Amino acid sequence: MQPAPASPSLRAVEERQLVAQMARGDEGALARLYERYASLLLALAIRVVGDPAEGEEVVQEAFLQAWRQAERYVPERSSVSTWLVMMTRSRAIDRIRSRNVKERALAAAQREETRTHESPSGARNVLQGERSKRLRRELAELPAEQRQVLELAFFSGLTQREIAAETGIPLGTVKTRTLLAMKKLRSALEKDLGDLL
Amino acid sequence: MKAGRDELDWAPDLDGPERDQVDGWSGLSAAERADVERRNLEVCGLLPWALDPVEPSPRLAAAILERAAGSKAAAFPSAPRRPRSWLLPLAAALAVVAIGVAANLARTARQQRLELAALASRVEELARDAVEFEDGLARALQNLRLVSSRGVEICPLRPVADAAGTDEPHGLLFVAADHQHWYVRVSGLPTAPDRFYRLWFEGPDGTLIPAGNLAGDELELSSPTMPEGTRAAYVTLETEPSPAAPSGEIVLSGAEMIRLL
Repeated sequence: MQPAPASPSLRAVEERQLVAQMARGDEGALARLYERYASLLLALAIRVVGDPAEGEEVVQEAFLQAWRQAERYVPERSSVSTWLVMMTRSRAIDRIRSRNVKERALAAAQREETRTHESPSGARNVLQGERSKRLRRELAELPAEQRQVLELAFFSGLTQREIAAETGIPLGTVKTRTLLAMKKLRSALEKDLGDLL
Repeated sequence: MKAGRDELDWAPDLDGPERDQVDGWSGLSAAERADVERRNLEVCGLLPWALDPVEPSPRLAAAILERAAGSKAAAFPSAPRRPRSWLLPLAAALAVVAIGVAANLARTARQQRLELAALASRVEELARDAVEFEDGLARALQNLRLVSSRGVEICPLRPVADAAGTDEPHGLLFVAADHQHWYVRVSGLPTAPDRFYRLWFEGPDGTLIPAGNLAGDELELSSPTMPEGTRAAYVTLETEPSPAAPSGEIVLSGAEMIRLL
């Protein structure tokens, strides 16, 4: 068990300040967070909803939500990047649920999984930052069954019960695989977590 | 729209006996459980980093900032005026201009420093020239005073060998009335690289006393002292710069002193 670091990284402190500035109505702070995370959040949104145009709508909603609710951000609960990621994920999942197109999301998940893991050393991957490389590597090193349940839970927004129903795997096994995947990633991504906490 | 805790609770139905098996959940303190939960959440926040980033369309940022400006203004009508969205590009443009101006100023300053250094060097050079000119002028005035002084004597210096033609070398030795100060000026001698035209005075006993080498474009020389009883002067062409006795050929000689008024 790793105790939380005594002090957050400078980047984490800076981003908390940006959120605080947003809460005071500073559009410049919003612009800086957008510049830093828009491409990441758009990739996430498209991964969930399966459509670039709709993904941009999701990202817009997420940033506007962050803008309006900046004063409700609690640093002790999450890093700023995770706060933005989870808002984007929620807005994207809201969309696929409201349209009752979960199948579409599942299909998109399958496509993304195939594409991502078919060309892990493609030209675009070379351009990714160290964190992206590390995430790709650690996800690729997870056993396929653990990676599957994790991606269904996170990118498709399925509950553990829904995953069990979709895959035909016992609920307990789904939970165990999810928990094992999280445990491995917590250990493997210790450095990144140290930057965020 | 959901917000807050709901969004951060990424897997609300994950609890169960499986957590005990994997994380030893029941043996953890509340703080330790909170730490595991927090780390799980941050792991989820990192998952999108595995995706290829997608560059948003340019209009997305503008749309977000525009809507943000409108929504916050409505929510906080009495809030202080916030910067307009056009201030960002304006600030960026001003920053670019400022960087350009700074670079230009630095380049100009560097150029001015070089010019100042060149000017300082030129001023030093002119000062040296001025000192030399002043010295030369002082010598010329002194020589002028000498040659125009009352009682001055002139000794023509003529070639020893017959040398017909307009380029025949010649010279004049001016001797002041005190028979100490003198000035000699020679013309028409051919240039002699690595050789030296040397002036000699012949004393009353016939001894030749060196008086210095003729130098300068006009081959002139002056001195405030002259050996007592000097009766003649010679110019020789020497291979050494300062021989004690003449060894080269005599090119000019003069023994006739003409007294002026």
